[in-house]
Amino acid sequence: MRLFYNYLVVAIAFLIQVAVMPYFRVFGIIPDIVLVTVVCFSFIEGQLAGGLNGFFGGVLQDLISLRGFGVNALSYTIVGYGSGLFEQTLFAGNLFLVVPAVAIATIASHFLYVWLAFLVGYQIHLSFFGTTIPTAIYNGLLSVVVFIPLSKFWGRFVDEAPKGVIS
Amino acid sequence: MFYRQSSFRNRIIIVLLVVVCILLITFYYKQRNEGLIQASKNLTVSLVSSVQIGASKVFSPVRNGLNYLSGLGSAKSQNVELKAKLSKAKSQINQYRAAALENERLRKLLNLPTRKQYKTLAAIVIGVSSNSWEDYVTIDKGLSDGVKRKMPVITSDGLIGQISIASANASLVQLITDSKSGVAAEVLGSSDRGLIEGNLSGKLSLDYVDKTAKISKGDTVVTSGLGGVFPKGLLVGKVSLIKSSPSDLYKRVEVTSDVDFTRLGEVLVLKSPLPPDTSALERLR
Repeated sequence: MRLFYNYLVVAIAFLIQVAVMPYFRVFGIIPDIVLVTVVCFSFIEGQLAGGLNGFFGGVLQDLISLRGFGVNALSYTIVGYGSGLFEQTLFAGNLFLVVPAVAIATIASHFLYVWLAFLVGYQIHLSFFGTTIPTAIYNGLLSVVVFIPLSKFWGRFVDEAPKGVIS
Repeated sequence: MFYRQSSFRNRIIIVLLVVVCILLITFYYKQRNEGLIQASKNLTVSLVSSVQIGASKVFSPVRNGLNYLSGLGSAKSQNVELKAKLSKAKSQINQYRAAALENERLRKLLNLPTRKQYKTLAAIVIGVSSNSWEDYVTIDKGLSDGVKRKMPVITSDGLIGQISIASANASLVQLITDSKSGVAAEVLGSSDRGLIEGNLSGKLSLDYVDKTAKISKGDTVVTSGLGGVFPKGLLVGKVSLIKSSPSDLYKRVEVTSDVDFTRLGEVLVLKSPLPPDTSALERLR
């Protein structure tokens, strides 16, 4: 059940991403609220939940992508799982650590996406200072809005199953 | 049930997920634009479009209001400029009408096939791409309106792209500024051809242009009709920059479109060609 709620939140984030986030484009940069949600969940729930949420969020992103299918799923799964490494450090609620961690996760996801897209035949010229860094900063700032409610209310909202259990 | 304490089991699950992702990538490449994955994509576009319509109803007035306020400063000078352009355009239209009739008559005399006229379908942009890698817009017309994959999409300012995913009631239009897009194009009035390609910065470049090509800044670039997706003669933009160095195999040509890709509102989908209209020619006889 806990996993279902995880997926529900990621699905809501996806709908916000496709319907609302384009209106918050700043200098051509759109923040990725799906990635931010996946990473914040990893900090709260751990590696496995991070990987599973990443897979689900990535598949949703792939469903409206023009570039094949599965590349987003793979990169989000790896980033979600990797972010879970910081669970013990960041779940303590240190927001000053969450912001840079989300920014680093964004940079990692960009490199991973470009590399995986290249492997499957799409050449994307990554603009590190033009796209990746501004998106990382934007996502980092957005993580404040996502992480605070998630970390405060998640435990209270989902109390049927112990933390870390997926069923 | 799996517990976090079992890190070995977690790793197994993640490895399985990675394998599933790789299988999905392979599976999609085998099926391409048919099959279950494409059907799922169509369904998602259809479902998401209803949320996008709702969001656009809420956010568009706000964005339009902000655009209106930001444009107030330059409105007066723009008005004068547009009036001058309009009177020029009116006289040009009359010239073009006469030339079109003459062209039609001469084609008939030489037994050349008449140029295709396209049936158009007006559509409204209800969403835009939500990531940094792709440039597309979602329109409110789909399969039920006769929209199909690869149909060209234009605005009054020129070509914007082609239908990439068509669902029941909405479609995704891949813009020509998308880095995966390629449009066969030529410089108007010459036989110099190339390929219009987009990039992440949103600029257009005319690639693979021969080094001996005589292109000047300000030349008009239109679709060449090669490739079979875009009909010949659709306006793409104007040449804004030409670079060439001895080490380059081709000329580097940058093209600027009159279309503001960040503020697309209403677009036209070019549907099947209409039968040739010979009524004007009949009237002349």
